[in-house]
Amino acid sequence: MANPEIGVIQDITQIGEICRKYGATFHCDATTAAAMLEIDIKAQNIDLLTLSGHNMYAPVGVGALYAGKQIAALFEGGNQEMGLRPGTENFAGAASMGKACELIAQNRVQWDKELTRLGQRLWDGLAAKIPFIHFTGHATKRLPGHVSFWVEHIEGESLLLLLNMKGVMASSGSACSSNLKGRDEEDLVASHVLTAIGVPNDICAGSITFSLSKYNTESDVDYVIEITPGIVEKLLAMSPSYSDYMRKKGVIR
Amino acid sequence: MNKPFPYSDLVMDHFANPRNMGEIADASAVGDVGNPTCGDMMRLYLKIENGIIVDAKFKTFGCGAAIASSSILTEMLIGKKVEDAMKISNEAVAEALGGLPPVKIHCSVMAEEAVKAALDDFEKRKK
Repeated sequence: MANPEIGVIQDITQIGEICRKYGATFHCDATTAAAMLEIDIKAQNIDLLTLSGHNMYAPVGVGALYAGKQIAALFEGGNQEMGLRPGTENFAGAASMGKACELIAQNRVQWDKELTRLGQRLWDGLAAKIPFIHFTGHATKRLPGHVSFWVEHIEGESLLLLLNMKGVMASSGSACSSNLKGRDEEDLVASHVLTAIGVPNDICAGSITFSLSKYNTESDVDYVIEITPGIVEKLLAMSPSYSDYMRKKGVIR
Repeated sequence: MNKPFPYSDLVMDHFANPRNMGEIADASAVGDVGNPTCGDMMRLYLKIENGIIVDAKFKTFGCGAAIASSSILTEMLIGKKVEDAMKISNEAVAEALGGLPPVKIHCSVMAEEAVKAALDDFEKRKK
């Protein structure tokens, strides 16, 4: 429904129409969108819908699959969940996810309004203060409060680490941080999302994503706008590709 | 606190406070390795007097491990004889940092290659 890395919202209604026309089963992954976008199973012709608890203000460790069509079980064993998934259900998780859905239904429009405002504030603030910044994804057809970008001459993991040391949590589509706990270098791959939209590998390395939630405030956003320029400056000063660029421009010798 | 990055404290220290970051204007040798296309690029500057590395500085485009590897490498190099510097292995760099995650071993390999490239440049300049 929406891409977590670049925030772009897909045209689900149109995809649903195409699926209906050709009789295809439509599985929609709404994990990042569920807390923010309107979902209408019938109108959008969605056959299967995936939801994830922690992406919609419920705890980690619970998710849901809406199945409007008959599906086959992946695991065999108990008869729980209509024989589709054996094992005792996570009742507390399911209950909290239900409550989260209820709260989202009541407050979504209001939350979205504030998230859109904060996201725009972050976008504008970074655009004004960060040199060599390039935003990824669509400017308006994006998740409320989602800001993603890359900075030329800077590698994403370094930026992420320095933000983290200042108490800011973001994520990176960086090849280098894609699978830090992998067994070997083969596990480090450039983001397929960024590669698919034509971003070269070296640039994928610098990709950063901020996804705000209803718990973020204007002062959080202002703090990020305040500290990020210094971090970028520090990394630019360290970057040989930046000094090559400055030399080429004749700014330094 | 849960550590979001599997790095040793020493790696984090060298990353956050890199030693000898910068350039040497009258360097005796410069070693350039990696490529920003691979997400990593390391440039090592050496000042060599009477066969001894008297100064070393670096500039690196890369992840935390790449910056930390460059930083500790300069510390390992300063004061070393050229022939001993030649023997610095990637294992020695990783070990000096208290180990690197398996996916980051290539950063220490890049450090070893940077020394080799700089010393190659040194030999070339002699001619």
